[in-house]
Amino acid sequence: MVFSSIVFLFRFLPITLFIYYLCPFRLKNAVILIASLIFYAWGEPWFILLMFASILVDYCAGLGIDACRRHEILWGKRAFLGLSLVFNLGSLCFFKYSGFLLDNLRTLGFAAPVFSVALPLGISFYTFQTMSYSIDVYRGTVKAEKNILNFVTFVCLFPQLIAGPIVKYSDISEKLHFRRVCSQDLEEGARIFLLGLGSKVLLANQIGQLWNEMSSIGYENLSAPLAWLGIFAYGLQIYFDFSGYSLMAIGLGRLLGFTFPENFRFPYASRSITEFWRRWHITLGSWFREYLYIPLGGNRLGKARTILNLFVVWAATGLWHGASWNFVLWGLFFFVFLVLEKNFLGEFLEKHRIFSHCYLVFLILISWVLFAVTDFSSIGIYFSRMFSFSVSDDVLYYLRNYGLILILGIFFAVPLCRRIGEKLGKYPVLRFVGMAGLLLFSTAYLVDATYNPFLYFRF
Amino acid sequence: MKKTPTFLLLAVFLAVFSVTGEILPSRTYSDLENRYLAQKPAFSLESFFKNKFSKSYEEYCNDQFPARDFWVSLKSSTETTLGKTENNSVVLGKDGQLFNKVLRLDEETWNSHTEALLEFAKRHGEKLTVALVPNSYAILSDRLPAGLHELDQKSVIDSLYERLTPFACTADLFPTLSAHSKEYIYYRTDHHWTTLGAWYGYESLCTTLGLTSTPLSSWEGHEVSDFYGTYYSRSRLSGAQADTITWYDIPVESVSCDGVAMDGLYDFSRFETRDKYSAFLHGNHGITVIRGKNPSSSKKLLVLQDSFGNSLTPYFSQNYAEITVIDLRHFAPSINAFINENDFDDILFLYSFDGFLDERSVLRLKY
Repeated sequence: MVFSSIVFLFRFLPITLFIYYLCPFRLKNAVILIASLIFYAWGEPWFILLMFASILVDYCAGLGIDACRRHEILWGKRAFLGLSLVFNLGSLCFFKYSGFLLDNLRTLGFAAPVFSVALPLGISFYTFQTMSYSIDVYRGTVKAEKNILNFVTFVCLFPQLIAGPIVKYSDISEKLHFRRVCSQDLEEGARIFLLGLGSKVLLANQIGQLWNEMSSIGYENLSAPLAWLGIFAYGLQIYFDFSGYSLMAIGLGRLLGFTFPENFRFPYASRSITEFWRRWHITLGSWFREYLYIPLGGNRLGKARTILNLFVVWAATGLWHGASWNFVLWGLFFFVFLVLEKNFLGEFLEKHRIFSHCYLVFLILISWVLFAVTDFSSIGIYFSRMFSFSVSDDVLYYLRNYGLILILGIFFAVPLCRRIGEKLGKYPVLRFVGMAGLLLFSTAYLVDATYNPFLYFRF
Repeated sequence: MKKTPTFLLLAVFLAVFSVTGEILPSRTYSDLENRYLAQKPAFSLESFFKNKFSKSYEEYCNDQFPARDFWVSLKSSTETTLGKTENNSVVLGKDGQLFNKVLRLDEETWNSHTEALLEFAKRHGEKLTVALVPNSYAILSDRLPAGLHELDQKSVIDSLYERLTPFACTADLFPTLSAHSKEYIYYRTDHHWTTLGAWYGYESLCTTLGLTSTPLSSWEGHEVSDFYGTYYSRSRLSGAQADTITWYDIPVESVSCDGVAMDGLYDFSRFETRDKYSAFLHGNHGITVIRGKNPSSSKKLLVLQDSFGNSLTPYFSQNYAEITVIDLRHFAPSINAFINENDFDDILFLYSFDGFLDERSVLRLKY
């Protein structure tokens, strides 16, 4: 199920919240668990077993690590951690990467079979989440969870189940054991949820249609201005799609009494790639820093080793987004600029405000081509159109149709909108009207939905 | 209450619409959208685990959403306010003209359909005339919005005709229709040509077939106003203007559809509904036989057509004693056997360009 659907909004959510608010606290986690299972099984009934296996392994690993620590059995601690890592990474590799690996072996001339298997919903998110738990227990930063119901609820918690934010056990362990939903949670939760719904339904879906036009026209037929307009639209689409989904998740979490970490902080207002990645998909970036970059030695082992570490982290980040070479290239593209910025570009960007904004937008647009187009020959065609100096009136038609929504998109992608929103939000009536408008128009666009994909769904 | 206005708004809104959505009776048909609406699916574990239930239940929730027409209209007027001139691949051009948006040729489909037609032409070539009717966007190009580059139908049709020429006769309708592009030859809100446009097509086909055309002025014309066609149903773009259908009192001896005798060429009751075009030849049937009154010859014509033909074929009742119209979508028997069993003097293959491309039933030409 996805949040931006009639069946979620007008069947699943009201029923779940109704039961959840009425039942006493000791049953609340069970209600969340049952709701989450229905949420997951809706459209993907079988892979729930895989998720259970993953949960069971990590639950046992946590207890095992804890027990070994008490009895000071060092190898046992390591073995349990290894079990968790091998199982999670193993299932991720099997379902997400084995087809890709075999394809590459075939290209190299080996007689590898063709293998394809459906990607279990949310596997990239929940494996990372449960791995962080075992690692944290190993490091001693969190206590192992004894109550299996709490642990299952932590992993299955439906707001963050299939598309993040990547919530770590330490983020919500306290709330798992006790929480109270106060009126402020209800109000803020509803507000954040509606903002997310609007981002997804009113901006991402609408702007995304412009990007879709590019492939229906055919990349080779685009004029240079239209090719730029197209990738610009994609940049806004993926931002509102993903940040909107995160906002909905955070809002739903609040409605249930949880506080999830922030995932996006106006990334397009950044002035360097380094800053961009501190503002884009924050929970993923910090996951890789905490559980890969720093364990590899971070920047403490000399310049060459730092660069190697960055290389590994960014190749992995790219690959996490999809089992295809273009995603690796996309990750390494950032690696190159992060290294440049770390060494000398950073200071220059710091001094030149306007240049640094242009620099960022330009590079991000280039990176989205690598991300959005999966095969290399099409990437080549798209770039050749962007830098072709071919002019045609085709861009006029699309500006006429999408100009206004793009301007709205730009407005909501920069911090100015927050400042204005905060000013207007001081008047309760205005705020109420704004929220009602979001709800009304989102409903209209969902009832008559011709185009409602979810880009991060499959990662 | 004061502390949580947004939450209450959300809660009440979701509760009201989910409850009413479940208890209100389901509608079967949407007049506004011109389509059947999804009904509540029966739950079974098997359909749930095969993922069928969730899909059809979601469709049901969307289609039976309370006050669906209101929401659909709210969306389309919002889109218009935002400057959108297209919806669901229908584009609003100048003077309220709606167009199909086709940017690229689906080569695979096109090739398979042309292969089927070529095979058919090789079998029945000496009697066959092929006429593909261009769709409005190729003829009324001066009314297309600026910057929209539609598919070049002319060159695609020309290349097909080139391949057909060794086997069958082809009729190029571009010159005639282009010459009359300032007239009312296509409906503004529907994908069909008007009876006037169809008459120009008829006139041009008469030249190809060596017949004498009967002028429009020989029959009395009647008008039916307030027609909103398929392009409008698909897009619901505001700015579209209602069409007027003109039908002519063409005298015929008899008309039968799928073996049932009909009263005349038109089903007048359909003029009262939204789907007014289906009045022509009583809508689409597998096999329709028209016998003309005082025809100028005793010849028999077979027309293989999509619904574009419904407004053209009646004109031929003055030239042929018997016209058999076949719509392959609704015609199950082998078409080649049918032709061999009956002795037709001429065979006309009459499809609109979009229809020829979209109708999978064209592949039945092979059987």
